[in-house]
Amino acid sequence: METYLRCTVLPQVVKCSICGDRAVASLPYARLVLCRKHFTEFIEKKVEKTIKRYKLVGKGWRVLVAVSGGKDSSTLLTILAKLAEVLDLSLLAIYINLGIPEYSEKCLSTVRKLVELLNVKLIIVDVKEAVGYTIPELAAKLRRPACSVCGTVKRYILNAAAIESRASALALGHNLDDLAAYALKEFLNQNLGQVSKFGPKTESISDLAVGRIRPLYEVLERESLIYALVNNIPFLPDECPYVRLSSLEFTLKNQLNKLESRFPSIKVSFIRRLAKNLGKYPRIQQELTKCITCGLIASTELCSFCRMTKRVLGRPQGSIVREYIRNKLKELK
Amino acid sequence: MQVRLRIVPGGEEKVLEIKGKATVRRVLNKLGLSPEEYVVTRNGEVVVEDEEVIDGDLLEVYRVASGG
Repeated sequence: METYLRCTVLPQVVKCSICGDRAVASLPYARLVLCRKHFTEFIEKKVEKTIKRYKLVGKGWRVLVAVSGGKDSSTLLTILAKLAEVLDLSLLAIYINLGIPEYSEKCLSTVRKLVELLNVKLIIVDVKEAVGYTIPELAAKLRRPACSVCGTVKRYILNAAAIESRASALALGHNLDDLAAYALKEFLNQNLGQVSKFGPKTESISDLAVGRIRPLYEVLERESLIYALVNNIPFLPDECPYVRLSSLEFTLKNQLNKLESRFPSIKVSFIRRLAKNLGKYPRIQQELTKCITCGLIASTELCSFCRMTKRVLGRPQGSIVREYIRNKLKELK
Repeated sequence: MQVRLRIVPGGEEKVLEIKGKATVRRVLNKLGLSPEEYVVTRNGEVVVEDEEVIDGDLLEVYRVASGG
């Protein structure tokens, strides 16, 4: 019997600088090329170091983690779930259903897969149920851009849920590129008082607001995506239909990437120096008070969420949303 | 050689003709995409930009930056 040798063409592969396995990520700023295993360890170590360096959490803390179904928050929850034991944290995830046709349902189904895989409890806040309107409906009624309405609603719900769940911190999936672009945008506009908002954490304010932490502060957006892909983490690569890819933030991200390829490590240096110099930027002098209807943080008599919902519904909705969240938390137990 | 290519999400698969040896970086450049703005999987595995591609490969291209 004749034997035929089948000729297989194998591509030249790039190898891990540590073990020689096939590389999945090239990190010029760290002068490393890493395989799946060593890249995963590198990112997890980086997040752990960030948490410790900036003292983002304390022992025994309950951390509410905001998840959207996107790569960053999925990566964040996965890494925090791995670190929860060593850092002595208990995690609770929150997903806000914004009611954006098709997109929100896809996000929710991704988030469900993620929390099931990680065995983390999830609270789902449906904006239509809690407020009476979806984000697109609210935006149409207010004649405001959907992203601006969405920002106000999400900030309120996340803070209210953190207060109601007695969380010590609210973890957000902002990565290094997000924060560098936001800070640079404010600097270009010379809104110096806003620059100090883009550090790795904000402090809690008694019973008004829960401090926000950004454990992916030093993780590049590219690293967050690669981490999610190589670890088969459920995430939705789709972009929100309201996102404008022509926005200044998006353009700045691309320009910063071009800078990074010519001057490796410029982004990491920038974000670290920003964290170090936050105190040197002026703080917005704004008297903070308690919203007279919902009791959460406000800069005027009514918080921005209560003001906004009063305009649409004729009555402020904050305390109703807080009660909705309390009921959702009871269902969890 | 021919490689199949799909932009994620939602992009339709298309076939790209390339002469001679090529790396992921060369394929992205040919498409007018900056390598620093994309992550590529080859036949389902994430690869670095200097990895070689071969005839018949399926490349899936993910844009790194999400808007905001």
